[in-house]
Amino acid sequence: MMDKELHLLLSIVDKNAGVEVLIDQGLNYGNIAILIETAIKSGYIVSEESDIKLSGSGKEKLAELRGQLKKLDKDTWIERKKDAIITKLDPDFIYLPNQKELYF
Amino acid sequence: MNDLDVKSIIKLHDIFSRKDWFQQLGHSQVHENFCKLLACLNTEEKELMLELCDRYDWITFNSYGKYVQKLFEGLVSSGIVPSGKIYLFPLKSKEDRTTSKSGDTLVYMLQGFIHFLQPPFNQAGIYSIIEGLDRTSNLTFTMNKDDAFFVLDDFLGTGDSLLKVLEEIKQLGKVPIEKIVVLALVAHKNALAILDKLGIKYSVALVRDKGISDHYPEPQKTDKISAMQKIELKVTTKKKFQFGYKGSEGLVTMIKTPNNTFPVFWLPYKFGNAKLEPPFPRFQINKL
Repeated sequence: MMDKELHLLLSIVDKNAGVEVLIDQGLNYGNIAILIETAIKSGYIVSEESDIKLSGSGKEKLAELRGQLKKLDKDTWIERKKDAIITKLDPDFIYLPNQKELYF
Repeated sequence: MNDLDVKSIIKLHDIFSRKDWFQQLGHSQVHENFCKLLACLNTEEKELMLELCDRYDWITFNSYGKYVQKLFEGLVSSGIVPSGKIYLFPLKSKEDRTTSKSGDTLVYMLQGFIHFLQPPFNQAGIYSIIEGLDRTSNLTFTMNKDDAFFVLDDFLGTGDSLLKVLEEIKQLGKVPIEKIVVLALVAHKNALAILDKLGIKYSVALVRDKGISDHYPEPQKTDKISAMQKIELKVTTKKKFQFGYKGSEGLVTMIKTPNNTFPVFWLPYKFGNAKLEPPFPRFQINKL
């Protein structure tokens, strides 16, 4: 069980949300079912007739994983806007309003 | 597609585990497609689909032998033990004589199971296969007093095709009605009611009711019917198959899923812009 996936699953259960975020991570529903089953067997999730919730150890594990996986470096959670980056100009470059027109 | 909740995934996983479906060939596609379908539905609709899934019969090719054995045990316990010859006829009408039907598969498989059956059905010498009604009419075919005419199919739904074939057999004038015994792995109660009315003997391994109408008491029934109507409006495009062929409300997949089964289980559907596969797709390979 990957820590990142377990962290997401425990967050989902904690917030009573859907599993879409795990699908976005490339998991299929079969993988998610196995992940849930493993988390239940490990005692992190309690599945009762009408309720699914985190156990005490599940809450502790979630807090632990949050600490471990917290992204402090902003470059890892803010993606660079690559299309806005301008290529560096050569010092000898002369700017012409129209690069294809050679006469003024 | 909408988001699927953890509770539904756990419930579906429990159903698959309890029914041993994770041991079936193709279980991962069925499970995946079932989850995708559930993700399109609201809480009430999901609840209904999970209840139907819990009562669903997924009978794979591997388990046919077990059901064939059950059919013949049923014959012995009902006292239907012919002492003469047994003619095996796959249920198919004259117009289907060149098409391979599920009854043909059953007759073919039976040849491999004969030695596992209870006496006297374990004697290969007592059987003769009749491949089609046209051919029957050309055969010098006379039934003796102790002979029986077994009509075989894997599934009986509305009983429409059964009635058609029984009429064709009657027209041949060679098989007295009391000699006919219908054998089916799965049958809906209305097909059996037709046989009872006609006084035809039968043996069936699994008898099934209508999936919603015959299962829930009022007022639950009305709510469940309304939930299925909403599901079908959402994901089913063909009105012809609403609630299954002629409203059969079937919950079964055999080698092929009969069109009597609720179409949400077998008809490909669109949700938003996504084209999605149902849990038990019903394929038909075209002939050249």
